[in-house]
Parts: sequence; C-alpha cells; structure tokens
Amino acid sequence: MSTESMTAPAKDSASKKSSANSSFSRIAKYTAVRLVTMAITIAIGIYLTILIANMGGYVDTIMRNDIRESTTMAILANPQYRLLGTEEKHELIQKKIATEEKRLGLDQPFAVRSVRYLANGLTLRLGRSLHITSDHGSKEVRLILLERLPATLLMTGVSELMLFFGSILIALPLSRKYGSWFDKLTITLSPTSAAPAWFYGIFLILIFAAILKILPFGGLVDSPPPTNRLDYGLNVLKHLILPVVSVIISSIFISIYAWRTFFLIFSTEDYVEVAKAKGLPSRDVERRYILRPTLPNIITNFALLVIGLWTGFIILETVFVWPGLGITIYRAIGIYDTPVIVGSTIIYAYLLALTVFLLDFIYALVDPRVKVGAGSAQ
Amino acid sequence: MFKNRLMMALGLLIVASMVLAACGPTTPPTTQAPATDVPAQQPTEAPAPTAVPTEPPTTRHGGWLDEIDYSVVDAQSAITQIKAGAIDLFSYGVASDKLAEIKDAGLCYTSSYGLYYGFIFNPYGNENHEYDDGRLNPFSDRKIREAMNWAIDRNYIAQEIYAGGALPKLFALTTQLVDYTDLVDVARGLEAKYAYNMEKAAEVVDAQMTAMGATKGADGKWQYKGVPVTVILTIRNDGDGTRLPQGHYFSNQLEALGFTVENKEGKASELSPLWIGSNPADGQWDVYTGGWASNGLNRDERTIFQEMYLPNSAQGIALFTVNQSDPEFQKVGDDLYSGNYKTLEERHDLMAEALPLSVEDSLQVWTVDLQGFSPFNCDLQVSSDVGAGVETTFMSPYTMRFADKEGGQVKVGTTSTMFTDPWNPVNGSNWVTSAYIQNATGGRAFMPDPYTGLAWPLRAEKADVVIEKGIPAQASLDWVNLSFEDSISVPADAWADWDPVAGKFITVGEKFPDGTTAKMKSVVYYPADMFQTVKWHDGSNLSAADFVMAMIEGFDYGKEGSAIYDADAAGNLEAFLSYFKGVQIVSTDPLVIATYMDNVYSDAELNVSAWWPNYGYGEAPWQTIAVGNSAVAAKEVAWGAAQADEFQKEWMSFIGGPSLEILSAHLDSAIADKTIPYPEVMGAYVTADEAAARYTALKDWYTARGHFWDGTGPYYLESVDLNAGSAVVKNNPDFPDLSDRWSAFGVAPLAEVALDGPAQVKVGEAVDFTATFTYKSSGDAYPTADIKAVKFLLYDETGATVYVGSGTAAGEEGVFTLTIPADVSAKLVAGSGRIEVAGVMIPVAIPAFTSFDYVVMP
Repeated sequence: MSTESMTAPAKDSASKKSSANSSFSRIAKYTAVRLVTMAITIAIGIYLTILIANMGGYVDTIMRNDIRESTTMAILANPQYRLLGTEEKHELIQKKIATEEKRLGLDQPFAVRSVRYLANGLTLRLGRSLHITSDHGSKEVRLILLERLPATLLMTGVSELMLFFGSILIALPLSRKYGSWFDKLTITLSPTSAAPAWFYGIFLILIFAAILKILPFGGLVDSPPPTNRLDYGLNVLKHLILPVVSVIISSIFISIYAWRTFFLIFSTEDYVEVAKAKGLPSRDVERRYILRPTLPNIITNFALLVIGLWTGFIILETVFVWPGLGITIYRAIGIYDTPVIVGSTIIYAYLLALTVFLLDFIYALVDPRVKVGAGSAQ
Repeated sequence: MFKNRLMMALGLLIVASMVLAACGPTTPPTTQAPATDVPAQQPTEAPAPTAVPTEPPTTRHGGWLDEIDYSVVDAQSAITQIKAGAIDLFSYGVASDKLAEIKDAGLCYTSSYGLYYGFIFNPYGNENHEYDDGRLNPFSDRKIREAMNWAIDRNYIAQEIYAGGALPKLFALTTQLVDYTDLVDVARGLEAKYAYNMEKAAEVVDAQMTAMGATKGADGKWQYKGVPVTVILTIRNDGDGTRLPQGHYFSNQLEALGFTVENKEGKASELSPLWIGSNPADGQWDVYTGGWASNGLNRDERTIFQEMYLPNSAQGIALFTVNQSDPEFQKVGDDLYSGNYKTLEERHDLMAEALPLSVEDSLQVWTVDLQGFSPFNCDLQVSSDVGAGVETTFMSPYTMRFADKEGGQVKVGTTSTMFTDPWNPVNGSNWVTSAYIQNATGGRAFMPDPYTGLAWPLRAEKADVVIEKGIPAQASLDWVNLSFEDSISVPADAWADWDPVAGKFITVGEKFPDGTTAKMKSVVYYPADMFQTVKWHDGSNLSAADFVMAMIEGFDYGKEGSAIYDADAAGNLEAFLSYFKGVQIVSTDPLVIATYMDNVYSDAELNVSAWWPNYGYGEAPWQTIAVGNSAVAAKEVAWGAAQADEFQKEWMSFIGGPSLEILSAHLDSAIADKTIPYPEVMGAYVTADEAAARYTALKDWYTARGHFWDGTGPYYLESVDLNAGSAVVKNNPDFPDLSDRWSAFGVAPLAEVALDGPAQVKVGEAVDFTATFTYKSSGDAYPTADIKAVKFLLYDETGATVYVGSGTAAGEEGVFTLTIPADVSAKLVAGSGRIEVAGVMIPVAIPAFTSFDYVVMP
C-alpha cells in the first residue's frame, strides 16, 4: 500500500510528464506536417494559378497579337506619323512591338517566367505589374493592392460583418420559433437572394440617387472632395450607404434562413429540451445549449468571411464606381497581368492557409472534445 | 396550409418579378421592317445654346468657369446622372445606341466619330483559290469580296443595331468628313451603285463560285470537291458588343448566299491569334469583324488606301501582305501615299480613282462609322471636335460655360482612365481623359479648330510657310503667308540633331557638310510681349528657355548615350529625324523660330511647326523637366513605362505617389546648386539666378498644391484625389486672354439644307430646284460666303447616277439654284427620279445633304 502510495504520485507525475511530452510532440509533429503540406498545397495552387492565368503559356501568343494590333492602330492613328514613308512607318511599328514585347518579358520562354513568378510569389516579392498602375501611379504590385485595400475592406467589412452578425442574432431566436409568422416570412423572402447585390444596387441608385436625390450615385467621395478630414470621412460613409444596403438586402434573408436551419438541428436536441424543461431562460438556453456547440462552425464561417473580405465585390464595385480591389483584380485577369493576379492569389492563399492552420487550434480551445493532432474528435 | 401557399406564391412572385425586370428590354422592341432603301437618318442634335452676339464684351480672364470638377462616374448611368443634376456633362461620351435615351431625357449633346467597323477577309488563295489544305477560299476572289458590299444592308445595321447613331460606311475614308466631302459626288454615286441588293450579290457569287469549280447542291449550299464550302466567321463579342449582332447579320446573309457558316465568337484576345497571328494560307479564319479607331478630324486621308488594303501596308500583318491587289489600285494607292502628284487637282483625281478601286478590292468591307455622343445639361455650352469628341477637343475647356452667366462650377463625369496611368509631360498618361483635364491647364502655340481641323494662332501670332515648287498646298486662313520656292536651303547654323554626350545640338553644317535642302520651311512669329504677358501657374514668366528645353528634350530622351535615354522613344525620334531637317531660333525678342521639314501637308496651316513647351503629354516649364531629368538620370524614377521597367523603378507622376518625394528632393538640390540643365545650350537662355528663381517658384507651387503639374492654361490644377478618382481645376485670373476669345466656336456651325422644286420633271425641259442652307442650331440663313460648293446628283429609278451638277448662288443668303439642263433632262427616262444636294461648308468639315423625289414625265 505504502509502496503503492509512495509510487503512485511518482507514477502520476511521470504519467503527467509523459502525457505533456506526448502532447507537445503530437502538436509539434502535427504542426510540422501541417505546415509542410500547406506549403506544398500553396505552391501547387499558385503554380496552377499561374498556368491557368496564362493558359499554359498561350497568353504569350495572345499578348503578342494584342501588342501588334494596338501598336499598329496607335501608329496609324497618330497624326504625327501620318506622312511617314511606308518603310519608316513599318520599321517604327516593328521597333515599338519589339520594345513592348521585351518590356513584358515575352523575349523569355514562359516556363522560365512561370518559375520566376512562383518563386517571387512564395517569397512574397510581389514585383511589378505588366500593365496596371496603382492610383498613385506605382507599378509595384504591393502598392497596387495596398492602395485599393482600405476601400475594399470598408465596403466588404461593413456589409459582410453586419450581415454575418445580424443574421446570427436573428436566426438564433428564430430557430426556436420554427413555423412562426416571422419564420415563414424569412423563408418566403429567401429567394430574393437569387438576385445579386449589384442588382439591388441599381434599384437603390434609381430610387435614392436619381429620384429622391438624397444619396450619391456612387464613388468613394463627392467631387470636389471635402477638405477637412471629418467631413471627408462622413462623406465616405454617405457613399457607403447604398452599396452596404445592397449587400445586406441581397443576402440577409437567405443568410438568416441558413443559420436558422443550422441552429434548428441543435435547438431540437434532447439536452436543449431538458434545459427548457428545467425552466432556464430562453437567453441562457440559446447561449449555453445552442450557441456553444455550434461555435466551431460559427468561427470557421467568420474566419473564412474575414479572409474573403480581401477579394472585394467585382460587379458591385463597378456599379457604384467604388475604387476597390475587386475591379483591379478583375481588370488584371482581363488583361493577363500575371503579377497582379499572382500577387492577389498568393496573399489570399497565405491568409487561407494561416486561417485553416489556426482554426485547428481554435477548435481545440472552444470545444473540449477536440484535440490537436488526434486525428478526430474524441 | 393556406398561409404556406400564400407565402410560396408571394415568394415565386418576387422571384418572377426580379427575373422579368432583369430580362426586360431596355428599349421598346421594334417591329419595323429593315430600312433597306431609306436614306441614312442623320442624328438630329438638340439645339445647343448659341452665343448671343449682342452680349457685352467680358472683362473676365481665363476660362468662363470658376471651377471644373472632374470625377469618375459609371457610364451606364451617366445620362440619368445628368438628368438628376449630379453631373453636368459626361465628357467621355456614350455609345451610338444611347442617342434615343439622350433625346428622351431632354439633354443636349455633341456628336463625333469614334470607331468604324467592317468585315476583313482572308484574301489568301493559290491559283485555284484554295488554302494549303485544299479548301476553297471564296474571298480570295476580288469579285466575291466586292459582291459582299451588295449583300450588306448598311442602313439596316445603322438603324437597327445603332438606333440611328451610326453612319452607313462604304469607304475607308471617314464618312462625311474632309476628303469624303471633297469627293462627295463620286462617293454618293458609288453609294448608290453599291446600295443593298441581295439579288445582285447572289448573281456575282453564283458566277464566281461556279467559275472557281464550286457547285450548288439541292439544299442551295455551295460544295467544293464534295464538301460544303464553310466560311469561318470570327465575331468579336467584347467591346461595345455591337460587333456580335453585326456578325450574326452577316452570317445570315452569307448563309442566304449559299455558304455554310461557322461562327466563332470571342474576345479580341481570343480572335487576334487567328486573324493577326495565324498564317492566312492555313485558313483558320475567313472573315473577321474588324474595328478601327478614327483619326479624329483628319484633313488628309490619302494614305488610308495603302494602309487598309494594299500588300505593302505599313501594318505588316500577314493578311495584308498576301492580298493580291489590282495593279491599278496598287499604283493609285502608292501614288497617294507618297504624295506623287503635282497639283491638288491631281490629288483629287487620284482620290476619285481610288474610291471605286477600293470597293472593288474590298479586302475590308465597311459597315458603319460609329458616332459617339457626349450628353450635357442644356444650360451648358460645350464645343466638340466633330471628328473625335469633347475630350480630344483642345478648345473645349476654353469655350465651356453656362449660357447665361460667367463663372460657376461645372461637374464633369468621365471614366477611370483619368488616372489609369501616371501624369508626366514627357511620356506619361496617353489616355484622352487625362489629356482632357490637362488641356484645361495648358496653352500652346496654335489652337486646333474643332470644326475644320485647321488651326488658329493661340500664343503664336502669324507664320510664313514656304514650300518647294511642285508640291501642291493651299492656305485657307489669313494668318498664314504661303509661298513657293524652287529650292529651300537649310542654314548651316540651324540645329539638325543632338549630341547626347556633349549635351549640345549638332548643326546643319556639322551634319550635312555639303549643305542640305528641305521641302518646306515654316517661320513662326510670336508676339513681342509674350514673355511678359504669359505666365506659368507658379508665377514665373514664360521664357525662351522653355522653348529651348522642349527642343532639347525631344532629342535627348530618344538618343542612346543620354542620361535619360529611353529605348521606347528612340523609334519616335528616328521617325522624326527621317523628315526633320533643322530648326533655327531666328530671334528671341520677339521670338521667331524657323523650321525645315521634308513632310508636307496640303494645308499650309498644318505645315506650321508649332514650337511650344509642350512635351507631347503635357505642358511644363523648363525647371520641372530639369528636375524630372535629374531624377531619371539618377535612375530613381522613369519618364516612361518601358524605362520604368528597365530601371525597376516607378513611372514618374507629377500629381501623386512615390515620385513626388523623389522629385521634391531633386528640386531641393537644384535650388541649392542653381542648376542650369544642359548648360552648353541652356546657358545662353537662362542665368543661374534666373534658374534659382524658377526652382523656388516651383517649390512654392508644390508646397501649396502638393503636385508638380504646372501650365499656362486658362485653368490651373487645384487638387486631385487619386483614390477617389477626382480632379479640380480652377480659373486662372492671370491668363492673358479674355474668356470670350473663342466664343465664336461655342457651337458647331453645322448646316442643314432644304430642297424644293417641281414634283414633275418633263423630259427635254430645263428645270430648277432650290436649295436653302440654314444653321442647324438656330435656323438662321447660312452665309453664302461660307458655303464652299454646292453639288447635286440625279439618280434614276434604279439608283444609278445620271448627272452631277453644281449649284449657283441665287442672291439670297444661303440659297442656291440647282439647274437640270434641257439636254440632261432629255436623257431621263419616264418614271421616278431623285435629286440629291450636298453643300460643302467652309467653317465646318461636315457637309449638309438632302434629297428630293420627283416623277419624270415623257
């Protein structure tokens, strides 16, 4: 007994130590494997992006022909060269074409350039764009993206966060009032999300800008812009109203419907019924018995939403002439500006990988059933 | 249950209403039959406010407005925004099919030419008209290409696809502009000949296809060697989207002619590898929906035949080089291109010869000249280049005003291209939207006339133009003194080239030790008080050094060995040097500059070399260029895009971004060092103290405004918001001219004509018709003195031209009598007939047309 009593704490301690060591090594091993696999995944993903964005190198052919067409048209339409001899004009066109091809790197094989793009991307050396310049005139991809980021984050951040939290706050109580009038109304209105935000945007512009004339048609700020910072900020907020409302109208009902259905599964669990039977207040039931077990899902959705803010809204930005990243990236795709496409993709890829990596740990923190690196929930 | 169904029904109703709203037509559908024989409807411009002639002279200097605010707006909502008062003008212009919407909104507008469209054919064919794989290429046959002109109903395209906002186009020449107007009788005759006639097209196709060995099957489709003759029609579906319906229309017409058509739709980038990049002999495409940019108000389009049809076209694209043109057309096209004629009459005749030959060649069959429209609030007065629109009109900021007042603020909407590329005067943004704002802040030696394409002195005073005898030219305006000499020798001390290492000009004597001659000399005289009255926005006075710096930069930037060398500019310089012979500053007080060239335009006004401190992409005082050069030489920034990529540095912007700090640092150094750039040359025109004063003025300007954009124009750049996409310019009260200097150009002096006469014409009797010309804007009589020529054409019932005559002034202003002589009417055949009149105006390049139908009685 005494031996046992003497050895038990030692064993316990050893067991704890061994358990701690085991947990550490498990987490370390998991982290290492996860990081390596994610690095490989990112590299593959980025290289695929490069290949797709360049159509496996066919874009070189497209660009060469584009250069020839645009250069020829520019020279022919330029009054300065109108009376230039045929030979001189032809020579000038050829020289311009050669200079432009060299500038765009078309004098190097695509395979070489693609590896360079990949290496630069992975090391976050975003380099210089081929065509696009930033609003301030820079060709650094980093600046092109950074300059547009605040406007994008403002629009997507405000609208998506309002939408996310608004939906959850409404859906949670609604899940417990299944079949109520408001529940039916939500279901009925959920098809309104079939129309995208820009569709509502056009209507809202028509009503509030063209007819009522109380809100602007679009843009980031009035022209001329207010000179003091406070007025400028308020003016930006005024311009933000219509795009944000468009996003919210276009998604609020389907979002509430989706969350409400998700919560509905949990709100009909036995332990929730027991809690209700015990007479716990509704608020406590929702918070402790419905919200808590769904937290990993909510966090996942939120995390993906946050990194999704980075991509912007392409058409909505166009409709509202909002100087965001969506338009920039769309334009880059249209004109095959590979460095900008790769730049935006690599940042998204890194953010996504980081999020997925961190989520595994966050799950373990919020849900005691989850152990990092244990393979599956215990 | 009932509630559920009600909710379901409500939900479906919402979805259905949204779908219907989204799919609903933007314009009412038309059931009108194709306008096959209706003359092209000319867009009717809403009357713009006319400058009131009795208005008292103004005392205001600079622009008419206090402020112009430019901002990026969505083009789709531009018309609504003007109607709602959010903006006053959409300067970029809207597409042709928006004309009806502009009119419905009750807005005024200016119209101009933009793109022009047509179909380009793959002309390759071996001796059997086959591609390399043995397939037949029907379009290797000129007759079939020519027949396509009959197969296309251009009026239908103009009316149905462009809602009347485009002009039917048969020739490469811009429809209804200068050269077309000069050849109006020939052009209209050919347009009548090639009017839509599907039977005629089928007749020619049948004959030619049979001759090429093709057979028509029972299904009416052509076969060659047992397989259907398939036409690969490549159709652009991007851009304004109108090439798609044009392509579909042509596809149907080709099917109707018995061809099997394979439509290949795609974006420019998807189709250019075919029509530009592929070997025509491979037959990867047969027809492409081509589109070209208009040259604006081009007064001399003689080079277009070689460029658009002939195998030696400078375009160098394979489809041109394989075209086997008619030798006669080749000669005419080459003669026109190289100016191989002695008189303007000879040129006219060559052009008249080229027109029908070009339609017979039809490497490209044209469909429409698109019209762009810039809508604006009718309280505003806006002038626009009839060739290319508001944003390319240099005069536009000088004349824009509210009709009933001086001052005020105008809000101009445009596109994001305003700041797409950085602004710098040497090799910055080339977008018209940027140039439009820059025009408001800049001056120049001559002001382009937006209605004729000629020029008027702005800062210059007058010019002498001397041309070598035997080269035809004419002068239309009295500020040019045109003369001819047997030989024009270039003075030995004139500057002919540049030594980038020594930093000095190479004289004519050094470059051409045996002397040299030029085909043309222009001497420009600037006002004696110019250097006192004209000031830069930073307060400095304009000086001769500004002119010299502009001359130096033009050479040094493109010269290998220079500290600021840009390979991209080398080609431009080389091209310039191929016709430039020398420049000489004859005097600096007053400034007189003589320039010697080998390129000669037919209009003396366009031969004047307009030296001014404008560097191609904007105006600038010499000190900002010097500061920029200093930064470029240090490879910290670059003037151009290619140079920036070579340096791996920023493309210089004078209005924002990382360049500003770099420029500011170099400016500080220049102030400290009192730097005189290119001292070997500039040292003669500026002292160290003057240089220091200039740099200090620039520093003050930059400190106050936050940018380096400095000019001499009627407005100065107050501020830009590059992220938000807006710019503000304000009136420059120190501008030397009164605001009303260009008031006469506020409204385009377009004319319209009414034709009156007997409804019946008796064979063998002379008959008179009366043409009355009036201003389109006011309805007042058009002064007879401003009408250069009145021509009329008689058409028979088949549409063929039977007579071309000239009208004679009837005494009353704007009224002309058109007489059909008895011997001409004697040849008319009983039936219907038509008379068409065309008036050629002096103050505007666009002619006035109308027609009148009559019955020929035996």
